[in-house]
Amino acid sequence: MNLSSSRADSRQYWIGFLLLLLCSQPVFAAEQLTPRDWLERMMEAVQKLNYQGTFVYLHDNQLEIMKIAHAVNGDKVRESLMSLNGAPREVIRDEESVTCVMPGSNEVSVDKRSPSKKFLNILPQDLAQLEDHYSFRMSGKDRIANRQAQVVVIMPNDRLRYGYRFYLDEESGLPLKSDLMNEHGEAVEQTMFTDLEIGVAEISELHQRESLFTYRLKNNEGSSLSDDADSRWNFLKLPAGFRLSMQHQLHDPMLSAPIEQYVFSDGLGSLSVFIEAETRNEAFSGVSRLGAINAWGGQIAGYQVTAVGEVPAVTILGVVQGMELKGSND
Amino acid sequence: MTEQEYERLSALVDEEISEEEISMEINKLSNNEANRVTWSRYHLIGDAMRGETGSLYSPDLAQAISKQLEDEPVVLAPAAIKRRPGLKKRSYTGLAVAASLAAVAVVMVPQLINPEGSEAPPAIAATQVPATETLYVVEDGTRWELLKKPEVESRLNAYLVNHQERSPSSNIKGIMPFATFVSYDENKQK
Repeated sequence: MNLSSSRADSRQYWIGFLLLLLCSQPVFAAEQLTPRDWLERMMEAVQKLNYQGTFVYLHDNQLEIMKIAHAVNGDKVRESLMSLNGAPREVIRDEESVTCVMPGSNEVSVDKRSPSKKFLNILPQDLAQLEDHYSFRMSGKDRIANRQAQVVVIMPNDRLRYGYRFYLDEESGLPLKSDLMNEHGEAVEQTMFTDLEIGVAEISELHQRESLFTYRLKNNEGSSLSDDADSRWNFLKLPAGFRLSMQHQLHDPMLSAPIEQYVFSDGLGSLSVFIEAETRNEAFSGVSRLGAINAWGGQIAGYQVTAVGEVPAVTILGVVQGMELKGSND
Repeated sequence: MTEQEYERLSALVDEEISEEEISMEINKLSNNEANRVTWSRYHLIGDAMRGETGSLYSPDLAQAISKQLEDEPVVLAPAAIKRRPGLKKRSYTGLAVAASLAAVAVVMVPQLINPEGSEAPPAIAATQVPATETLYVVEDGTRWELLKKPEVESRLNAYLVNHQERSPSSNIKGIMPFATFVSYDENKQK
């Protein structure tokens, strides 16, 4: 398989598409694109276009409505996601930070983003890698938010990962509707745009929200993002296709020892394992679930371990079961 | 036939009564033509619900069922009613009759999805269980399943945001994965 040429092909499609737009010719050679071409288009579009819109979000039999905006200004990207029903919550993300704005005293801190990892982690060659564990196929056309959409399905080849169904805007490649399917093929999470504007994005400044509710932006300066730090843990028998994609330490001012985070991914689905040296009063023990997210908490070799991820529970259990503290004889 | 008898008969069809009761019911059946007709109709409905009939949408059958429904207060989902003895059967039965074949279709759909019928059909549960009941059950819980402690939830939330931020797939979907987080926590507002 020639990766570079397929990537170049998609670029050509993309440039060709832009040219077509400029010449205001409505013709687009959508028919010739393979599912992978479409997914590459989607990745480009999600990251590089200005857009804003409203979408509905269905999970656990709850229907919600949210507003999304994605503003690109040169190299800088700013994104916002805001709930339009219930308590006003918002997440704003830019190169430097992720800010969660929400009512009350709930605070969430996110470490400073690592500049090398921003906004482009999945590359087209990774899509080829995905083909070991997923099958891609086109699944006809549909119409969403009054726009024509191509349906692309990513089917997992086993039950260790979720599947996806994307309804991609024929014009821009943006996902107008996304369904996340669990290991039984049931949609566990769905998002669908009800309206979408392309080429426009307005995200108001943070301070304008201050009067409405409290928010907290916290960049933990002391935190180190070390991808190659010595790992004190072995992860044996990882579920097929999952690999350690990054490892780093989080610093919680409440704790004397840093929390270790290990991120595992098969290229599409991923989970994180958090390891705390100290036991807290209220430790999470057992399994839990939030929409398509599964979680496990428990003690391993005297450490408090928490695993969360958008993967089936069995995958999470598989990862934590293979954990072993280096140097321990058990 | 009284309403109670209809119910017993339908329990018989669904094999939900004891062996002695079964033989008793069968004796009654063989002695009464009307009962036998009802019995076979219940079997037809049962078969339809299990998807075991040949052509479900044959107009003749529909007409036949429709007519029979108009003629009598058929208990469409006897299993569901039996497990909720406190519910008002009368109003439900009336509804079923009025809705005629449409009601058959509505009730049947969940039955076809779950052919064992081990649980009350969702369509019925939805109309009969007050919606607030489920909310009260989880009132003190969190958005996370099986998680009761807010402290634990808040840490899990923090971990989730951290994970989503660093997940390699987060850029294929942009900021979308944060939807889980932004999503309105209905239970906590109570």
